[in-house]
Order: sequence, then C-alpha cells, then structure tokens
Amino acid sequence: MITFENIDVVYPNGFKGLSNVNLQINKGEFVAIVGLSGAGKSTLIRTVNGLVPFTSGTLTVGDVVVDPRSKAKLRRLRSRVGMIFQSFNLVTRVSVLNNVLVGRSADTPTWRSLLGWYRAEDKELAFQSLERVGIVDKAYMRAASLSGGQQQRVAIARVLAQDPEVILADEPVASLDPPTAHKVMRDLRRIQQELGITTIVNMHHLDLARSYADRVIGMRAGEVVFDGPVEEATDEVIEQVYQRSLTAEDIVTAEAAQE
Amino acid sequence: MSTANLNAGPGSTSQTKPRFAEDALDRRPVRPSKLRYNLGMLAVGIIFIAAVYGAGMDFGALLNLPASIIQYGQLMAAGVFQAPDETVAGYWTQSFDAMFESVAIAWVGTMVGALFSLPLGFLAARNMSPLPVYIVVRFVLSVIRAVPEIIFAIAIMLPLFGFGSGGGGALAGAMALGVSSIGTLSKLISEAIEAVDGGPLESSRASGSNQMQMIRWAVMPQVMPEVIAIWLYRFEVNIRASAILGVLGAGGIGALLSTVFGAREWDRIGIVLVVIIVVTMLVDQISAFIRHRVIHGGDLRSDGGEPQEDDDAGPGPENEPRVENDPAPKENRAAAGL
Amino acid sequence: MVTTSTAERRAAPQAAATVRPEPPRPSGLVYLGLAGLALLAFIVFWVIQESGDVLLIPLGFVTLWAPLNPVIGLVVMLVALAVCFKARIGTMAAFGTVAFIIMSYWAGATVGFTLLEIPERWSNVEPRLIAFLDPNWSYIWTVRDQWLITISMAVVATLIGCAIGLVLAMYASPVSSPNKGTSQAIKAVNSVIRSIPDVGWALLFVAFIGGTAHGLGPMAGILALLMFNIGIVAKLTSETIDSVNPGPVEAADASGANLTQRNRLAILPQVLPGFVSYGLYVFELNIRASAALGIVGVGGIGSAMMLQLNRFQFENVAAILIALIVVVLLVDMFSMYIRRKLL
Repeated sequence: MITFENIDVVYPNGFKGLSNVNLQINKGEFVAIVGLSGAGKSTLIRTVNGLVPFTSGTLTVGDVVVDPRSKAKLRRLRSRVGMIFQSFNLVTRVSVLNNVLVGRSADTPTWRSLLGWYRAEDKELAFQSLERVGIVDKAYMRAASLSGGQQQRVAIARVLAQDPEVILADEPVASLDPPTAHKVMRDLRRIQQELGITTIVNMHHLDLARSYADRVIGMRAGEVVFDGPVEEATDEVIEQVYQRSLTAEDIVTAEAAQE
Repeated sequence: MSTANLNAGPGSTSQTKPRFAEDALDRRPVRPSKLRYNLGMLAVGIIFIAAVYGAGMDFGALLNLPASIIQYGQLMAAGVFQAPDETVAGYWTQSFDAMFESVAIAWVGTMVGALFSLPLGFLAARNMSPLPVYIVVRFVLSVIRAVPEIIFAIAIMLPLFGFGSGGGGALAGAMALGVSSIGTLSKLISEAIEAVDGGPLESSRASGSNQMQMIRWAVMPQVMPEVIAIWLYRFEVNIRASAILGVLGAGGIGALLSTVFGAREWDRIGIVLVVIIVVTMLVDQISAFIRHRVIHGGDLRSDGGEPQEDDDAGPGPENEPRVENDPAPKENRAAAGL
Repeated sequence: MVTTSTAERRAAPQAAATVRPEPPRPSGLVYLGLAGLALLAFIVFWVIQESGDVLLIPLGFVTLWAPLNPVIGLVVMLVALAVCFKARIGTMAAFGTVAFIIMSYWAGATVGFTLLEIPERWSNVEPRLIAFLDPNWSYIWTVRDQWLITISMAVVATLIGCAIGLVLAMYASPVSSPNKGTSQAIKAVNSVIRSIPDVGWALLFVAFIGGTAHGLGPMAGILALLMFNIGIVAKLTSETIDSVNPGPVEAADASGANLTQRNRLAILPQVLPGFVSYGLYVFELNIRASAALGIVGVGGIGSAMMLQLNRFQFENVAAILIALIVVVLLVDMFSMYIRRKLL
C-alpha cells in the first residue's frame, strides 16, 4: 500500500511539481495516471521511489516511511520499487542479460558488480524474468539490436529481476507503435495479475488506460483532480481533467486496438 | 540450465547469435563463447607483465619516492613562499618571461600550421578533391604526423635559425612546432570537411556555382567554427610541446627548466613550476572559452536577424542531429586526434 | 519595391512588412573603440620594439617618421577593422580579429620572426640534411634493447595511466561523482597535472629518484609518462562521461544500485569505446614522448639518440629517427586496427 499525505514537491528552481497530494493506492492495484504534459504525472511517480524528493508531507510505501535525505534508505526502498521508462533506458552496448542483471544491483555486493561475476541464483532470476516477458532467446544479444517493443520488454524484465512490490511506469508505451503498445501493456497487466504487484502507470492514451487499468487518477497543475475506478472515467470527466475536449491524439488508433 | 551460465564474465558484448531454431522463442540460448574476450584480456595481462619486466623497472626506487617528494616539495614551497626580495623577484620575472616566450612560440607555431592546414585539409578531404590528390596528400600528412617535432627541430630548424632564446632558438622552435602541426591539423580539418552536411553542397552545385564558390558559401560556414576550435586545441598542445624543444635549445620555458633542474635550485624550480601551472591553466581557460563561444555561438547572436557568413565566429552547426553511437562529443574527438 | 530608395527605407524602417530587412548594423561606437584599442596596441608595440627600422613619411613641409614594424601592425589592424565594418561583422568577432592580430604581432616579435635569414644560414643545415638522408642503416639494429625499453615504458605507462585516469574521470565528471565538491576538486587537481608538460614531469622524477644517468633504470620516465597520461585520459574521459545518455543512469538509480554499481553498469559501457581510443591515442603519444624525454635522461631510445647527437654522429641519429617514424606509423596502424575491431 502506498500512502501520500499532503505531499508537496517544489523543484530547486521554484517550480511547484506537486501540491498537497493525498492518495492511497492499495496493494495489487493497477493505477493509470492521466493528465496533460506538465501536469505532474512524472513527478508523482518519481516521488514514490525518491528520484524526485518531496519537500513536505509524509509518504509511506508498504511499511516504510520514505525519507528522501537518506541515500541508504532510498536504495533499500528502490530495490523494492521497480521503474520502467519511456525511452527504455537500457545500456545499448551490453547484452540483454547484463541489462536485466542491473536490476539485481541492490542485492549484489559491489565487488561482484565491478567484476561482472554475478551469482548463479541472480542469473537464474534474470533468466526467469526474461522468460516471463518472452524474449529469453535474445539473452545474449546486444540490447541495441532489439526493436523498441523488445527493448521495453527487457526493461520490464529488469524490473522483474528486482522482485519488486511496486512497479512504476513512466509513459511506458509513448514511444512505441500502437500494436506494440498494446502488447507491452498486456504484459504489464498480466504480470500485475500473476504476481500481485502494485502497478502505477503514467499515460496519455485514454483508451489504453481504460482497457488495462483498475483505477484512473487525473492530474492537472500538480494536483489530483480525479480519482476513481475506470468505469467512472468517462469522456466528460477526462475533458474536465484536461480542460479541453478530447482529440484523436488522446487515443491509440482503433484498428490497432483490435489487433 | 543455469549452470551453463555460471561463467558469464563481465560485459558480455559478444554479437554471436544463439545457435538454434528461430521458432524456439522460449528456450534459453546457449551462452556464446567468451574465449576471444578472455584471450584478449589474457594477452593484455601478459603484455603488461612482459613490459614491466622488459622495462627493467626498479621498484626499489619507488621506496624513496614519498620521502623525496616531501623533502623537495618543502624546498619548492619554501622557494615559492619566500619574501620576494630583489633576487627572488628576478626569478619570478625571468620565469614569466620564459613562459610568455613559450606561449609566443606556440602561437607562431600554430599560425604556421594553421596557414598550411586549411588548404591541405581541403585537399585531403575525400568530398573536396580528386582521388589522386587525396591519396598523395593523405600520405604526406601521415608521414608528417609520424615525425615527432623534436626531429624537425634537431634536423632542420635549430641549425637553420640558431640556438638559444636570443639566437633564433625561439623561431626555430616555432617553426618546428608549425611544421609538425600541419600533419594533425590538416587531418582533423579534412575530417571536419568530410563530415559537413551534404545538402548545402548539393544545392550550391545545383545553382551552378563553381568549386571555389561552393567552398566559400557552402563548406566554410559549416566547418569554420570547428576549424577554429581545432586550431585552438593545437595551440594548447603546442604550449606543452614547446617545453621539450626548449630543453633542446629552442628557448622558452623548457630552456629555463633544464637550467634550474641542472643546478638543482629547488626554490627556483618551485617558482618555475608555479608559473607554468598558472599561465598554462589561464591560457587553457581562455582558449576553452573561445572554443565554446565559437562552436555554440554567442549570446549576442541570438538577437541578430540573418545568420552572418563571417569566417571568424559564424554560428555553429547546432541543429546537427546527435549520433547515437558517437563515442565522444565533437570537441572531444578533436582533442583525441591532436 | 525595387524602386524604394535606401533613404526612404531609413526614414521609415518599421513602416510596412514589405520593407526589406537590413542586415543588423554593428555599433559604430564600438568599432571606434576597437580602433582606439588598435592605436593603443601600436603605441605599446612602439615602446617595446627592438628593431630600429624607421619609416619616413615626407609630407612636403615636414617629414614624419615612424617605426616600421608597429606601423605595419597598425595598418593591418585598421584595414581588418574596416573590412569587418564593411561586411557588417558583429562587434565581438571584430574584437576577436583585432585581438588575434595583436596576439600574432606580439608572438612574432617575441620569437623574432623572420624568414630573411634562411638563405644565408642554409649552409648550417645542409650537412645535417645530407647526413639524415644517408642514415647508417647498420646502426638501427644495435639499439634494439633501447627500443624494447621504450615500448615497455609506453605499455606500462599507458595501462596504469588509463586505469588511474578512468577512476579520476569517474570522480571528476558531475554525472558520476558522489558530489559537486569532489568533482570540482578532482578537476582542479587534474588541470594542475595537465598543465605541467611531460618534460617537466620527467625532470621532476629524475631529480626525485634519479634517471638512467644514475644507473636507476627507466622508472623516472615511466612515472613521467604516467602523469602525462593520467592528465589526458582523465580529461577526455570525464568529458565523455558528461555527455553519456542519462537514461540508463536513472534506471540504475531507480533499481537501487549504489554509486559504484551505477558507474560500472550504466556509465562504463557507454564510455568504453571512447576510453579505448583515448588509451590507444595515449600509447602513440607515449612512443613519441619517450623519444623526446631521452633528452633529459630517462632511458629508452631517446637516450641513445641524445648520445649520438652529442657525438655529432648524425648518420646514427638519422637511423634512429627513421626507425622512430616507422615505429610510430606501425603503432598508428595497430591502433587503427584495434579501434576498428573493437568499436
């Protein structure tokens, strides 16, 4: 369970990223966060694992009270909270397997990381993660040689290798074509259901949010303006969140959705 | 299955494809052989040990090193911080004079190199010159690059212009640096020219301009900022290189260094080193500032209407797409080539 | 539109959208100031000039005289300024041009730049050149031990220097260092290391621990090359680290890696190609430098060359130089091969 109590984020340049956010996300939920760019979606997600430190309020992840000032505590928290990025963020020059093994860092002694001598059980876990996203046959290929959708699945495997309780995904499908976007979202949904991992996904495609999430959170100008089950997130409600009428850009094309 | 993967070493970057049928998507691939990687590492290790042995390193000498660093360091510090009476003030001015002479040597050397490097750079660029010219110029340049500057100094310049600060040694050093600069400068400039955006070239050719017009209006505006940056880099390199020529008799800071070290006057050595550090860092800072300004354009430019075609500080190719696998930024590549 | 006179346009520059824009005109006042700077430089040149060449300007009623070289400098500066103004070049670039001319004049005067003495001094060069063109081929093989030492020195210094340089670079770049203070401090240390030329390091280490002249082997030379390499590798690598793709770094952070793990797993693979080519570049530099450093007695082929030079055995020196050129070319080819293979 993740609890935000009166969370504020003020960036060093004075920009207010989040203001007075109160949220409770239950264990095992699949939450989609929607909003225009600059609404604070990324800030909200990055607050959970401390990539963006919040400036006031209380944040609890599971039984841990997040303390952005303690690097060691943050590392321990991050080992339990996996994150997926829009641009996949793989090290393209090394093999897929080594990219997945980055997810084992927190449980690997530094000297092992330095030499690249991972324990057999860590490698086994990495392979199992790759099997779960279905690209284990590419394990020894360079990440650069993979397509965008495959790279994002490697990124998901990297997160799974952490054995996380929470998965944060920051626009995971924004740089993918519609069919691939659906595939990646299906993977995420399946993993969430199979393993019961709390999943929070930022997205700007409404139809994807509606077809995969349990709950939708709408944000505008750093504030949560809508929070409810996916059925309640009708077009009218979202237009309220966006403060403009919906356009074709807000959905992935229809034919792709059928694919 | 996992036991097969026990020995996967660091950075397994091998590109070998897994050896099994394409449809077996869910099977774990066979670990590609790391033999070549391991052999390479082994070879580096063996070469290193052989080199340690071959150089005949005397590790005993290292035992006394910390003690002598402290001892002589104190002597040097004492020299730097002593009250500047008349003699000491003389040491300081002498050091500064010698260092400025080194800067002047490097500047003249860079100028000489720059003068020849621009036309040669065009002749050595594959997209600018006919193949026979290209091959000949490239060969000459690589021979020049292979000859260290001390060779030019010893073989030609010092006997030609004379030894010592007063007797033409400085000019000899400058000319030696200049000739040896031609090689690297021309090569880097030719690479910059080869990397220009082909679009403006094509359009100027299409509009019927001749070779010179094309160079002036399509190539020069694109490469000039980078060329200036390359020249400035070489200037920084030449300041350091002038020291070794000074020891040979070409004047400048090198001559003073060899004098004070010969006499082992540690207080003067300290002063000379401080002057070297201060002046070199200062020149590096100024040069880095100009390089940055020339490549990224100045703030004054942003309000100007039309882009200007002047050769000194045209706006850099800022909107150039970033290449994903470029191992180093542009400025870095220039430095690595020098 | 074509008939609109310049006068009309000046009168109403903002009048209509159809008026052709004029190129921005540089400030005349600043140009006047630059001309003043040129005049000031002329006076300074006059005061410090050493040659007594004088230019006489007869005006009929009175004959002005002026020192020759500074007048040439002044004329060049003013002409350059006029050209810049005519071409509507920005004031900053015009300042750069004047500064460039002043710097070149000063440097030329300091080194006593002249090409007029070449013909009369050519006789000094001729015997050397003849000797260099007729090298003592049999001598090349007799100094093979020195070559071995030179190459060994270069290998040892390159490998250790690259290793230390990599670690320093990791601490020097703000992307990979633990905090800003560390990064600034390491950068400062590194620019001090870099500002001392290789021969300066060689002289220092020879004085500290003794060179080959004292029968102490090439240790001083290796240490000098080491410092020289650390400076170059650390600077180039840290600049490469500055520009790595931040995505994988963020991902490593998000998965709970510590600083060392993050640098090893997310940054090192990205900078490795650059780092390897810097290492090869430095190796090539080391071969040349160890030839030069022989002058101050740190062993290797340079020492052998200095010995022959001091004995005026130019045929032998020429043999060594030719071998040096060949070795440098070979190293160049080797490093190109490795680069192509690895990257």
